[in-house]
Amino acid sequence: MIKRVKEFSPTTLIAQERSFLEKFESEILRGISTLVIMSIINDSGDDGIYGYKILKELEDKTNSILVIEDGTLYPILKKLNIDGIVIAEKKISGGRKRTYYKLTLKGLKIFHHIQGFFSKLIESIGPLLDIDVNLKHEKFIYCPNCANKIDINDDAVKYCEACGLNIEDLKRRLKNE
Amino acid sequence: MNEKKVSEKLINDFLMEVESLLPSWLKIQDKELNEILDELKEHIEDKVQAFSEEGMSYIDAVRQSISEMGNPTEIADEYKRRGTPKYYITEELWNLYLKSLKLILFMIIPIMSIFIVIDIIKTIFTMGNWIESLISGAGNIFFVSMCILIGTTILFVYLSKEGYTPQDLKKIFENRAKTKIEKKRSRRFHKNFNKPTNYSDKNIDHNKMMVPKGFEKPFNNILGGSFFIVFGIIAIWQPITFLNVSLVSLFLNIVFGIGIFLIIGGIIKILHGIISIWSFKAYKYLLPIRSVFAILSIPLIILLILNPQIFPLFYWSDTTGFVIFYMPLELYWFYQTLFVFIAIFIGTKSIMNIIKSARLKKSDFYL
Repeated sequence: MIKRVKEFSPTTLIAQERSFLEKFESEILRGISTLVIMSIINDSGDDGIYGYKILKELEDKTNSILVIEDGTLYPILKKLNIDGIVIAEKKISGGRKRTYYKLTLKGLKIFHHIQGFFSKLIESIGPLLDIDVNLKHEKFIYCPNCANKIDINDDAVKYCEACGLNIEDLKRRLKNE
Repeated sequence: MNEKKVSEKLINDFLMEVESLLPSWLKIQDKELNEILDELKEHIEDKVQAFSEEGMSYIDAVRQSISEMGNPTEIADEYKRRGTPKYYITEELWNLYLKSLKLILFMIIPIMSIFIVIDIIKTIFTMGNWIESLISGAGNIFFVSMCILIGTTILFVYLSKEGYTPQDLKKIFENRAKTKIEKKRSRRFHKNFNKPTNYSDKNIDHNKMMVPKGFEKPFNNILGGSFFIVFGIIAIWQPITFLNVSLVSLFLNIVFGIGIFLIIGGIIKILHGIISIWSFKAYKYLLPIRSVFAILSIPLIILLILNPQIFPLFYWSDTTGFVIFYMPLELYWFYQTLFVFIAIFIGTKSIMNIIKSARLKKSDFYL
């Protein structure tokens, strides 16, 4: 787990810039947290997933590097629920009543768009930060107009779901390559 | 206290702290609130189970789980993060903010303008400098407008920070109205439940008399009326003679008039208090009489508003004793605004009391 500045001891050198760094870290993490939560919910499939399990998955998949504080997970889920991105369902599991979250159709579209946008963004700033980002171009295409992430093997998709751009030619060209 | 009870208390304390910090727009929605707290509780229980499976003692697992939940303030703040920021006031509240400002200013500015016009006319008749009155009046309007602008802005910045939307505010008002109706209904149900078949004054248990919310209790009326009479006697008697010679006679006459109103008003108030202990009708009909009487006293206040120059102020000097001086010109706006508010308050309260007493039913009065 990467230690956040707010957890640093006041005696550390960087603590003098604490307020700036705390704000900066929380700004970066805010959007990323929502994206990874949506990603984990998407991976859970039709059964959905409950809060505690989301954090467990996050811990496992990021090797405990990205950690969302337990209490702040639920306000994010609530907001996603209010915005119609996820639906919440009460189910009995393991003898206990739990709230399971699933992505809605609208949520799935939004997730693909944000995922594509974020991936292309990271790819583009990679050289500035001395990092290599290898997007899976053999599996997905990113809409040239809006960066929406589209499954290259889904033949039913002819237009970008987000901006409506015709992507048939692009898909054919990439497949042939 | 056993381990289980201590753990339950720890969890409940944590949830109660989160609840107390949540914004009120969320707290009024019982279902939403319960869902949030239930979900946090479920999460704690999942964590406790996981820690217990790792070999931790139950109570330690509870403590560890709660500490990993995070700071209650930060959790509550996350729920408040709503709306699209726009100059510290969210876009969602922006239109309501502008509408509120317009509404308040359109109410206050015309009232103030009327007083400025009266002041200017008076100045013209007394051969004074009317331009000075006009400038001072415009300055007052500017000052009051700035206060309203600052006050309203602070209120809306706060509401934006708490994550309110206009729908939440509407819900809060609707909720209040609903609660009032429900309380009234439950009271009626309660009364109907206990009501004897032949409902009459004889059947009422007067020990169970309950003054409805918003109405004065008999004892308060008796006490208030006594104070009115004491102040009224002082106002009529005007016992400090050395002061009287230094004061303007118009002011003394107004004080005398107010004294008469206070004494008569006080007597009616005491009667209202005493008779209403056994008579609902007395309570119902004495209230509007008192209110009409209070409205009749407003002309005396208007007389004070129109003559700020007669209002005395005092200070104590070690060498000369009491020193009397009159309201300085720069404070006229404050003095007049204050008395306008007093007159509006008396008028509104009296009218409200008349309406309230007209709606008051016997069934509201006895349990």
